Amino acid sequence: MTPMPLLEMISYPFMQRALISGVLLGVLLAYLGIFVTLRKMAFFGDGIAHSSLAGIAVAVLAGWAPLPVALALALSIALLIFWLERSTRLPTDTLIGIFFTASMALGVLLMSFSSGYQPELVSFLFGSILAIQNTDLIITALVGGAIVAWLGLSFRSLTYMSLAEDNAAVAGVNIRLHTAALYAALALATVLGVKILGVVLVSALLILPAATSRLLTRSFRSYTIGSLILAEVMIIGGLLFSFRYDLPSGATIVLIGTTLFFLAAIARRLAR
Amino acid sequence: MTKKRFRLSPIAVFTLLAAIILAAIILLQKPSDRGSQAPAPNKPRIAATIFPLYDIARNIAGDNAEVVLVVPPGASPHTFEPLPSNIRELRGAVAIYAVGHGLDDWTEKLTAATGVERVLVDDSVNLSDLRENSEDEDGQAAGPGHDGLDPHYWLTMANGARIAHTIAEDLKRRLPNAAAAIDQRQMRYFEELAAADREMRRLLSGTTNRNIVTLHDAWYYFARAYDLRVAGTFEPTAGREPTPQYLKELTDGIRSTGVKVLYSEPQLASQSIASFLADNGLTLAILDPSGGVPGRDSYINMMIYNARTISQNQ
Amino acid sequence: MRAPSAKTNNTSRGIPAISIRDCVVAYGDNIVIDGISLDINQGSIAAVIGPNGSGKTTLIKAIIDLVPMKSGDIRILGKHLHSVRQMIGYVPQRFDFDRYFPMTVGEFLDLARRIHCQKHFPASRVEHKLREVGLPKETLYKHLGELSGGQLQRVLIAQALINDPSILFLDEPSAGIDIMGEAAFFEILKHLKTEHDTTIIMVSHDITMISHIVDTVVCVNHKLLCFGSPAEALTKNKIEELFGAHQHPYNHPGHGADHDRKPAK
Repeated sequence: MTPMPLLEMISYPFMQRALISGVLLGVLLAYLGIFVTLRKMAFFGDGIAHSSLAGIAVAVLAGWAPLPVALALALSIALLIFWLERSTRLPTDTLIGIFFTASMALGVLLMSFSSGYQPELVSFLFGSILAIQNTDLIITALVGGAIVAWLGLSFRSLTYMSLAEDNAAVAGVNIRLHTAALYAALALATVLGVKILGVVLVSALLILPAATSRLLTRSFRSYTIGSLILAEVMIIGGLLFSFRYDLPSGATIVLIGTTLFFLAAIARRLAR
Repeated sequence: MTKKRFRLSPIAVFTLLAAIILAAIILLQKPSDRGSQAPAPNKPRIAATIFPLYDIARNIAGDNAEVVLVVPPGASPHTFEPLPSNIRELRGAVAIYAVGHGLDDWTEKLTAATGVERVLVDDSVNLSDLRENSEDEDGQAAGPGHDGLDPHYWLTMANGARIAHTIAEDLKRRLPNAAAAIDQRQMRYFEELAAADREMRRLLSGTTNRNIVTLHDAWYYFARAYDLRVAGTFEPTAGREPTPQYLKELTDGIRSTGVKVLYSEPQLASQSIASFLADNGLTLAILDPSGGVPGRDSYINMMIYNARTISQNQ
Repeated sequence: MRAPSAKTNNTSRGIPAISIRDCVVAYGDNIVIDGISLDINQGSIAAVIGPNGSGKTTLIKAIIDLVPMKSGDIRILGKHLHSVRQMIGYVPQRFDFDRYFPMTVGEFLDLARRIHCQKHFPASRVEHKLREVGLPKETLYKHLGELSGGQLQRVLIAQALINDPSILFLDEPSAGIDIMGEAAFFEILKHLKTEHDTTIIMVSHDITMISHIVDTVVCVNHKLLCFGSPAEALTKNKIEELFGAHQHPYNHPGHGADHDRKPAK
């Protein structure tokens, strides 16, 4: 008996949708992950993912499509956090801890009101390659595409701003606008990733590609290209693996990512 | 003095290591255990969602079709999520037999992904309303996609026969050449079902206390067919833990009917019943609505097992 | 007290580099800058001194709009900041970035070039700037984390110079000077002054360092306390008033008073 050939694997429509969605996600999460790492926003990414649970719960209960509702909620919370950061003296950690856990708690509470069994919830927590429908793909393409376009235009400003905020301000970069836009982009991209990667693990893909690339590269150019390549390898590899072995896709992707990270650490030592 | 040393870049080492591991994974692949092979040309593939339907279907189909089971024994159809391997398996299948009415609505996902036709086996079954069944106003509320009807209708022999008939008619339409063989098997199977029904009634004839308390609401049809009464269920609505208030009412019901046993199911886990059992001096027994495991390895054996379990415990 | 204004002049040389009028900066009820007015001439090297918490850094940040003013007017070369941004250079006190972040010196300076320079200066400018701060071309390929403290300091100055600013602000450069070395630092400043006629404004609490290189001293303690040449501003009394310590710069061996001091009007 031979293992299922790759071509046959990708002939299934659900697999095609998952792969297309995954490729786009890889671009988003790789590049946003660079800023998450630089600005030490890992907690933010994780928090936004958990908060999306409320949006999903509301949508499932009301019978709406979960993705648009979750996107809207995550965007609102991200901008709220941004505003509160600037207008109160509370540290961002505290704000994130409060809002995101409250949102997740609300989601859990709402889920408990629903009658009957809720198997969909499990696939939201840990990701499922069967979960992507055509509407999800369209939304991912539109929203994700917009974010990628914005990132392309603002990449240098964002990088400079994240390295040397005062200097960027002096140069005329609109720090507030770019920071708010970054928070918004991060929130949206994270929610887009929830269907495949799951609420619990999506934020790992903001960290793993950049962290792994960092072990292997010295210049910024190689670092960014490396992050992108690694993100795609992790996601596509994880999707194929979870298809082949019926595994939850989020966990598979993250474990592949972690393996690559450790390989990179070993490679770095060996290369000295 | 500079010594020339051969230094690999970290990226090169990394790619090398990754390639080695990938090669190892590919070479050491286990062959796929869930049929990724296409169905045989002369033998169409049909599927059934739960084991009882699967067993009935294979009795009717015999050699004329290959039957596959989707929900593995031990898993609950209520919480089942289709996996990629299910989809792979159902590619090329001509039909999937389903219970419907909220039990296995995930079959819609399967039909969307594979193009297989879903066939409900509830034809000519007298479906009852869940609220009527549970005899109280706060019976199961219909959740999204549920039509308020109790889906556990396969748990009477009479309905088993109706299901067999529905499947037989469907198969005869798809395989007109095998119609005679199918009819023959159908007749024989009816007799087996009838014999099993008599056996079940015999087993239950000695039972004096006809009240049973179950974990979940699968047993109303069974109770009505075999002169039992479901005095209460531990879960007020499917999949939900009971509230303290509900437990109090249940306890009162148990006291008034003198029930000594709580019937759980292998597919359901519930830690909280342990304390309830202890508090009320109940013992635990297992009824199986699905079957497919040793001792309940056919629909008939499963039903007889259930009858025997009740007779031994009441 | 009010600092004397520059003489109005037809030539652009006469326009003060920085012109502040009644600047007030407050955080809630806390008034950090309490109405300061002054002019700083083009081409001068000015030091803003004061004790900790006096608002000297805040004043600089107000000029380059890193903190908002509650009231007041600030002109740079006669114009508002937003139209002359490309003429400003800024070296912050601390540079908090992860030194092991994957980026080469060349990439870092190139990034600064692209953001700061309105006109498209060519990439070779980066190399030129490195030389100006005394670093060899090979530094371009070095990873930021590989640099020594002194090299990093020079790179940060190079970054501030990337757009050939007419006015350079340095916030508490003393820590960096300690690492780089005084002589090296003064070399750069002298070069800027003589080659480019750059106006340099430094915030400092170290009087001895500044007293022999600057020509204008601005003493700040929420208000403007003094303004003028080092000799005038830094009388013994003034120093005591500001710092309550006995520090007279002319007692410090090795420093002569041989810089052009523009007399205050």
